[in-house]
Amino acid sequence: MKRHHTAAVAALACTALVLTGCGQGDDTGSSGLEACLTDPAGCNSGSRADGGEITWALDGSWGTWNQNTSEGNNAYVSMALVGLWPYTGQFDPEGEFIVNEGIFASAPELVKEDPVTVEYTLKNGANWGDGTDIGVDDFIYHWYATSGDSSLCDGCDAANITRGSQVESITGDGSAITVTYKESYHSAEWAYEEVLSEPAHVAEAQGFDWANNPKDMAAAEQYFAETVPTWSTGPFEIQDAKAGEYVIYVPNEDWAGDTEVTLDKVTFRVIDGLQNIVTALRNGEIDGASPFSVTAETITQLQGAEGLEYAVAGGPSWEHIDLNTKSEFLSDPVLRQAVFTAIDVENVIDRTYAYVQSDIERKGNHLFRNGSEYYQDHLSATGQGTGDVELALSMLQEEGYELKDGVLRDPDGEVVELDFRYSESKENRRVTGELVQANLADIGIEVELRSIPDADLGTVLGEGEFDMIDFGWSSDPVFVASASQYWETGSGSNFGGLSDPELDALIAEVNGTLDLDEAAVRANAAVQQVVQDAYSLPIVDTPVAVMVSDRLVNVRDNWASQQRSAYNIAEWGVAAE
Amino acid sequence: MVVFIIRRTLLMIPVLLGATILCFVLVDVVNDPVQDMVFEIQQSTGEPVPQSTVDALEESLYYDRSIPERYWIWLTGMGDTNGDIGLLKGEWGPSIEGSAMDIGYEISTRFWITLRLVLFATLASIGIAILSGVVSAVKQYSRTDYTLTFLGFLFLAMPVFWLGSLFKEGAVQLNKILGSTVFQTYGSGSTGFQGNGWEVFVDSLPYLIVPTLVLMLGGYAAISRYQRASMLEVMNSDYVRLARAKGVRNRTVMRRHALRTALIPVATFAPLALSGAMGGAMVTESIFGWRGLGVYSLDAIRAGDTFVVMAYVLISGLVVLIGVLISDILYGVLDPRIRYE
Repeated sequence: MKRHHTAAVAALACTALVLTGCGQGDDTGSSGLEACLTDPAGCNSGSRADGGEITWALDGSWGTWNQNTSEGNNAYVSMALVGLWPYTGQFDPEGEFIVNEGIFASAPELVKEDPVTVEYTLKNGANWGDGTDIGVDDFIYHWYATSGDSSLCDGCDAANITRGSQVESITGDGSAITVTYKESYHSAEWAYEEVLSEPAHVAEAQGFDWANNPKDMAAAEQYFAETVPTWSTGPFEIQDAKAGEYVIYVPNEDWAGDTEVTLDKVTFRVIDGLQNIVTALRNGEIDGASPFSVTAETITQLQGAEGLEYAVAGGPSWEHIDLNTKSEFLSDPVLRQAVFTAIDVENVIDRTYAYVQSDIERKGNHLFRNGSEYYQDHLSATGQGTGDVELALSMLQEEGYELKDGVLRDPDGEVVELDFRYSESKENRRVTGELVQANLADIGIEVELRSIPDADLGTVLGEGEFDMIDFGWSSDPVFVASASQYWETGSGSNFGGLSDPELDALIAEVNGTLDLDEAAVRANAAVQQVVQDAYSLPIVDTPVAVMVSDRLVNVRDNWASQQRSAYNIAEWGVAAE
Repeated sequence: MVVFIIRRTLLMIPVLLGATILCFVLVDVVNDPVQDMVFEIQQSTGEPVPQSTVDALEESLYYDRSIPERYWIWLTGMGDTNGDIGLLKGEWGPSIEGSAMDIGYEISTRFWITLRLVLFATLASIGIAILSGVVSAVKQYSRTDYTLTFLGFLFLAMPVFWLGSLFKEGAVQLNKILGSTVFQTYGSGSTGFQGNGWEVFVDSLPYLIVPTLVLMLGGYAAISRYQRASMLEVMNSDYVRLARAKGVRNRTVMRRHALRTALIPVATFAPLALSGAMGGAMVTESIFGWRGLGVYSLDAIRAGDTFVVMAYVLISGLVVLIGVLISDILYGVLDPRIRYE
């Protein structure tokens, strides 16, 4: 095992040397995008020429046109539909929520707290791109589709019913739409809830009596899943598209937004594989991409390319190591704390993610990004992730564990052995495993590294087939539901089976206030408790890159949006001469 | 001959059935796409997936049935279905990719994409192989023979992914020198391009050149060795010596007597090579972004998309079996010593 560890370190050191030798540019990017470090929401800005075309690569495909459904709730569908979808709003790269200017005249307003009642004011002229205005029926359609209630939609497979199942009624009066929630709804993130998806009048025109017949409602959802949208509420409308391959957008002349669209055409095109994207970009076949992974080799190639800019930063997911509380040995919280204490996270980062993002920081909070106004470091004070072998051993010895001949035995005399699981295609996770293996060898624990075929990660997690596992969660500025999803007893995503009544009570409190600041305080209390439970050890916000032709302006990455760089597609343009 | 063809055609049915059963079991046993989809939704939404959604997913993908029942439904479409499955009814089943993905449509369009790539590459590789094989044989142990032999083994030894990447980078550099994007490195045609067959072909030319070269060079070496050996064997045969002894001109001996006979092994090998390449172009397709059958099957295997894998197995199996049949028939047609009863 030590030999593996040494080999991994040697391999990465070689990569670093190669990078140092070949690198010609600044590893934080050049000119326009370089400013993203200090001005994430305003970097690479510039005046736009009238006209122009952009081809943007997506590194994954999609097989549906309906984001409501289980199969449609992923980042690639979201990117493919970014030009037309009726989002309530978008978080910008600074985490600030910007209301959709093409649909709403103002931000949603909380008009009553008990029950929670929210009023939306539609913008004058907000429409579906086919001459039909957006109205109350469209709000009701979205509610039914995401209600999870078979009396409203019989056969719908909504990916998320958290909000839809809590709606009591929706009424409309002209441009004012009022959504009344059930008594049980108390989310501090009420203003961010999605309230629209597809046009009700299109469903009716297709012969679906969605409002009165739950089966028709499900059939309408299926229709939207299979059919390329002919409607649009955004700055662009689809000219041509093929699921999983491409979407060609042209400006939507009926868009009610104030931002002037200058581009004549935007094409989203699937290009599989990071290497293929970089080559196509260098060859001028595409103008940019913001793929979900980045490697040291990619950075090297981008550094030497002419006419391209790139920037690397923490992306929309975060890496962490979770422990299985149902495993033979890790059910003991003291052993879990000792394991986390013996792992040297800074060393892991230096030998993995730091090769692509030199300014990367260790993540100190599960729910809030470093730099967030709500961020508090709950980890440093505990010693978790410091690689402090002495501290870890003293914890164990106090509890009756014994280290003899380099082997750790539990109080019953059993030799402590663990496995570490990771997705086989993720090189950084493999190296992390080898480093963890070396760290835990210092406290006498033998760790077996076991890779997981990529398609089986969900199965391994769901079945709890691990002692330690390295995987990622999506991160966005929304946090209220996350604590419940990750750690609440019985949650389908609490893969390590943590069950802590005290933590459950804290999580319930997070969901019990309408004040966002108060919810954040309570969420931090939950984070502190989960750190005490030594259940999940955050590593970093996974680095991603945006790479663009230097002829483009107003194109930048956005970790806070599922659409990444396309979050502000209306502002995209070709630089004016 | 007709009886032979009918018998061989009927024999294809149990072979294909056996292959599909084996593949179905293998793919189904090692994958649980519903659980993986649920995990992905959890990652995406940040919230738990409702049980009603999990149930609907299982029902729509037929994962609420046993493996034998799923296979039977896939084959026959008999039983309680959503009307989207049953090979005998012309339905290929649902894809885990989503409702907008029609497996039948994907297979048919991707088949032509792969055929376009493979047909040109195979024809070109056979042409070059015949030429170099004949030259090598005629000039046996000469510098030309050694050079052609060296080149053949060189391309044979190069992994396709490496050769592809090398040519791709070469194309990028050549474009830079020319100051124009003459060679495209990804895809099989302009995004969204529509037209008749000729227009599609012309549009695909910038995309076709580099991958065709890679497939051609990777494939020609082996055929070239066949051709060389066959030519040498014929040149040393009695009837060729007799023709020479009769004073027939060397060019005529070579063209009329030697080459015609020496082409038999390559001619019979060609359909097999073409059908094999249809199933084996996935590396080249991956590197150059041709969304053909190979890439489709690779993605499906990775994702555990059972019905897509089944469609691929059926189509590629059929193509290979037809290739073998044509090869056998050609052998009988070209070689008068072979007779099929």
